[in-house]
Amino acid sequence: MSGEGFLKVALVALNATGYQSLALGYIRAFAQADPRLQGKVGFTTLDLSADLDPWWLAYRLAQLKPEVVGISVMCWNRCLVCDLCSILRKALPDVRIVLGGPEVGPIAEEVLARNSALDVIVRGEGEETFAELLHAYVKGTPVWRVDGVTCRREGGIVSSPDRGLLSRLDDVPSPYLAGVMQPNEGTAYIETYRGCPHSCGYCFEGKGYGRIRYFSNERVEAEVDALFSAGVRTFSFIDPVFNLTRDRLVWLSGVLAPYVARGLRLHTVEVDVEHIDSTAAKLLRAAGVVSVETGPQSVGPEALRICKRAFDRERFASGVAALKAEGIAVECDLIVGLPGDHTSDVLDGMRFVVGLDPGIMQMSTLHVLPGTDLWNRADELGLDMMNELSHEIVCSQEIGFTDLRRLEALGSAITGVYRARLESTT
Amino acid sequence: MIRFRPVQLGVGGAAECRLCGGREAPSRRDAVAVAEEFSVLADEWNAAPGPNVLLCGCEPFSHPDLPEIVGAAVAAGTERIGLLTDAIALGEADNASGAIASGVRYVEAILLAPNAAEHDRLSGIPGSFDAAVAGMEALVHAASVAEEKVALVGRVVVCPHTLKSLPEITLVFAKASASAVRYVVRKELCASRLEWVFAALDTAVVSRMWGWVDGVSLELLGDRALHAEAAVVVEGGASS
Repeated sequence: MSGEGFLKVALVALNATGYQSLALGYIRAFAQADPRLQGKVGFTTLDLSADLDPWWLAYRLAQLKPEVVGISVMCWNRCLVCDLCSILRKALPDVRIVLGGPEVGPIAEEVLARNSALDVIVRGEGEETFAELLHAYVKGTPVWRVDGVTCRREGGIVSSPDRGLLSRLDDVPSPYLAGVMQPNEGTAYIETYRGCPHSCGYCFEGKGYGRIRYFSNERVEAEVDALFSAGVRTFSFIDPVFNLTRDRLVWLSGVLAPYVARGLRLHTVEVDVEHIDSTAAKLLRAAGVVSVETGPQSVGPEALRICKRAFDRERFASGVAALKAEGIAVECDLIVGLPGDHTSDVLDGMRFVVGLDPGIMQMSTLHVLPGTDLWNRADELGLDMMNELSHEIVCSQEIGFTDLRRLEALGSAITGVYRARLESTT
Repeated sequence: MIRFRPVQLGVGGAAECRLCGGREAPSRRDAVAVAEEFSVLADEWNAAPGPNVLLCGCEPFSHPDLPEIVGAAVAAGTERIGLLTDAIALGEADNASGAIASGVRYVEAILLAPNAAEHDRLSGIPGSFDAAVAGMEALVHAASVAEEKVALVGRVVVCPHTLKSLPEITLVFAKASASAVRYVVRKELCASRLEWVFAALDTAVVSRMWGWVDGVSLELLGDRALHAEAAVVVEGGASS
């Protein structure tokens, strides 16, 4: 402790360049609003890029002399965070290192067992658990009594019971409205709900929440206004499905339209394209949407079955056509290496997407993420991945190592030629 | 998968080594006739994405009306305009940036060997290797400056004189930031010598590029059949 009862906390996110972590914003805003912590805990947030050197990161943290370092771990920064924590442990022997995020929460005990530098992992929804953890630090009570954490105790690793989900999302103050985050042009996000209506086997978007919980309409409207008032003219929504229901799309479109008239644009919102007709596409355009991201991820029947995904070629194509007719660029994503997909299925998917001429095509190799159905069934499905690194798949039962690498190279070349075109004619 | 229709600008381009290919005397088509072909092609194009054209036959930069021809392709609604070139002229003056500014988004660059001595011997043009490499670099730089997506693809006609250099040529293309290499295998090449093509294909993959093979049956390619366009395209037609 730096003073009696005062705890210095550094929150760290390692993002794609230019981006900020909304998760850390929530964590900090929630803790700062906790009356038990006010005057007893001070926060510094470091939103940095994931291409930085871990030694430099540790140096920067050391200058802050924190008692607690909380780090958000995602699939793209996992290895960097591991390196950073190992350095930090030696540089700041007394610091408490707390990790959270989808990359560590579902496999908390395994992560703690593997990395002795770590003290605590916050599992699941982090706002309430992290605030409780800080309260335990301030009070000097046992950390293992805080619900939702995995930590060390008497030479072993223990997990406390899971914490229930927040019943009211509005209990988490808006980081933008609370002044915890200053939104950046082009990279700011708004979240209007948590959970996902789908349960795709490879995805952790729903984070095991099981049901959809909404921020209030008033909260969302206030955040939109706050971002626009801060001068942000392009941002995005982090919702797993922007067009979750028609009513919600109508509402959002109505909220955003007045700002669109004054220059607001939304980029890369994720949509369920099979539920987009010309009316929905017009609503998206009225909402200022200039680009969307969608599947199909695969067109192979067996992979779709294993991954619990619905796919209708005609509806998908119709949705893409409706969006293009409104001038909205569509990013179609394909995943290479899904269980059940043979090489011919991957090629079929590439042909399908290229044939739609969506505007943007993205191919990526399967990463088997902790907490997903594919992670839990990896052995059963014959998925071989790099557990210690990025969770990238090495091979599947259907596609061997060599063909997987060939498909990656082929996909990259096709994508490169596809995007090299005269924009004005699309 | 992404089809390019070849549009002949003339004849006499230096696509293959002079020891094998009989080279026709260079001649160039009338730009008006080429422009008419673009219009017909655009009307007939019936499968997205496109229309896409590859200007070939003679060296495109030797055609005095190349800017007008590219302009006509743009006017006809062509989505991807490609050049098949020895890449020498790309490094001259503002050719690379000019080509991109006018609408070129795809370039297939020809190499015959991985070094100046051998390439210049096979092309018959002193200094052509260094100029070609400089041309590819100029293209990539110009695309970066213009913030435009431009695909660079290497091209090698596989003959007895280029065969054993294929892996090294592939590395030259990789260093130039090509996204793929097209290996055009001459018919008379013996099937038993395909090992060098296979080595080149593998070199491409480990260099994070793709390799296309023209002129070899799927059966002969074996487990590398994916490198044949026929295995990828299905519907037929040129693909990149």
